Amino acid sequence: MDTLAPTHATRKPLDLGELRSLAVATTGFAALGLVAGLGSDDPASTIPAALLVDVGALALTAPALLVLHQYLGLEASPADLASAMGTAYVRAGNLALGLTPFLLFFSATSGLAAGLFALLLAVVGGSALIVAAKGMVAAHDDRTRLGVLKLRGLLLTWCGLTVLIGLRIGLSTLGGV
Amino acid sequence: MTLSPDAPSLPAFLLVITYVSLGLGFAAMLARRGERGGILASALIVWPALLPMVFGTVRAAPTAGGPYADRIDDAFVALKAVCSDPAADAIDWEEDLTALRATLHRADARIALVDRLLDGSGGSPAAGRLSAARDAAADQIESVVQDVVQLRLQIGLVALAGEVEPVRELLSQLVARATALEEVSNGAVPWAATLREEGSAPAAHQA
Amino acid sequence: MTLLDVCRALLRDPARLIESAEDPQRFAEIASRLTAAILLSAGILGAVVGTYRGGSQVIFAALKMPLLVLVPLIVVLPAMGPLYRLADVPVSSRRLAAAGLASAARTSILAAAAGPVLWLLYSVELDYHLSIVLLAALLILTGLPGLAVLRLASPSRPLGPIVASAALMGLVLSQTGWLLRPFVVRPTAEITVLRPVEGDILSALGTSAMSSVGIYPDEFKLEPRGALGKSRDR
Repeated sequence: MDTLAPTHATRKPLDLGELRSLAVATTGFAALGLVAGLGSDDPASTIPAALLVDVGALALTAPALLVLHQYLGLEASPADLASAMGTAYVRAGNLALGLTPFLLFFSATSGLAAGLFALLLAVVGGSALIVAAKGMVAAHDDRTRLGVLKLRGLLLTWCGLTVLIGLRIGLSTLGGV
Repeated sequence: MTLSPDAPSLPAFLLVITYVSLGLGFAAMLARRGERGGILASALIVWPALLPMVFGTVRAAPTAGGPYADRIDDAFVALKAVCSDPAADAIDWEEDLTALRATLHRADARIALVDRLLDGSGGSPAAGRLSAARDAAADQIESVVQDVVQLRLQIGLVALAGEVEPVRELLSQLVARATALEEVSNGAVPWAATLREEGSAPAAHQA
Repeated sequence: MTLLDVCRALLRDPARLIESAEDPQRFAEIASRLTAAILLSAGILGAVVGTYRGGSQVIFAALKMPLLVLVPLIVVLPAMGPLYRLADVPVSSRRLAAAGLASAARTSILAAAAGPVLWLLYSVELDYHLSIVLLAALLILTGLPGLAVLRLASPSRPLGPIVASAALMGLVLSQTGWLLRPFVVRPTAEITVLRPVEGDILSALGTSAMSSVGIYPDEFKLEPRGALGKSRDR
């Protein structure tokens, strides 16, 4: 691979549809956090919780992923990786929005909201990781043994790191640790 | 007998009122679109399940429509708006129009497939025959769509003069032409197979 | 299509019914018929359940039973589309909504059909706890064919989204049942339409499980829970 060759064509700026998708996804994360805090003394404090835990973990580990990806000489462009992560963000955000009525129901009628919120954060975050990983695998055509090994190792490491960071943020945000 | 040991709380009351108000608003929206009776009652109770009636739906597949998809939809949306008018009640249009629209979309999707096959296929004899069959089918679709637009005006005859038969006849003719169109556009498929065998076309099913 | 046509199609060939609901013009008609089927059938089941106590409980249970069926659907339906999209399965929202309504309607119709059996058993003055277990068993038994319809939401019938949706519905259904209790009222007890929002289904099941093996908590008291329960308590 010619390391001095330009990367794939510059991605065009986000269009209105993509901006709308991102806005809807962000609303989903915020809404999930908001309904989790219903009935508590400070409901507004939980609004950013889903964003901090799920999106924050992805955002903190994304630069490391991109750097290591280039360092390992893997073929996909950073733009393709960013696109995979963008898709993961949108799908996870839509899932969070879809699960908001479910959490609202339990938040309004039971004391199970806190436990369910933690479970849903894990589900939404986990699904974002899976979608992102699948997108990144699809962006690579290198089927050599070494190429596949490097990619798998990188993705597993990235997923593990993201989960640990997500847990840490979750504990400090929700558990007060 | 007691209603509840305590009266309903304010948040519970607000939750119920919000749900019912949204249901009323949704039912009002449907009523303006011409829906009646049981559908409006259902909207009050289960409006979240009826949202697909109004808002965009997730496509069941990546865009499979062809070059005439939008024109077909526009013509039928306009026609439906007219047919929903009580003055057009004399015509039993629903099933025929549904079938006609579906037939046109299927033919249009086949045109899209052929266009993809012809793209970059070069000037082979098979490509030439396929292109001719494609153009014939496209002309037929265009003609039927134009007649659907004309059908709207014919419905005026029903409203003014009560002349139902000419409209019924035109509708039957359109359905018959669409059925023939299926056969014409199906005729393009063997040419597409020939084109693939000659190796001068990319794979038909692109991502 | 009349209500009877829709019910017949629902019982014999639900796949075809859901496919025809993809057409925008048929969707409204089928959805409204399915809703009517749910209200009627679940109402009948509720009335039968209410006969255990008799009196006005027949009416109250008939009014609450359709809610038991509809609330899980309304709460979980918004999550089903994103679950399918996560699994890379494109699905139309009309088809999803139709499958959800069909699932609830099929369960309701089959449960109402079993109503005479339930009435017969209730009429011999069964033990109160056994009556509740019977009702739960009936709902589970008729719920399975209903869930089978839910998998028709997508032609490819992927397992993941269906299992996830079913799990969410099961949780909401059980909590809704707890919220809307009582359905079965002891013959000598005072009739109450609704109880306060207190406890939750999981803590209630936990306590029942402990009681069944002879472990009784020192102090068992249902606390107000959730935003609705706590606002009442203030």
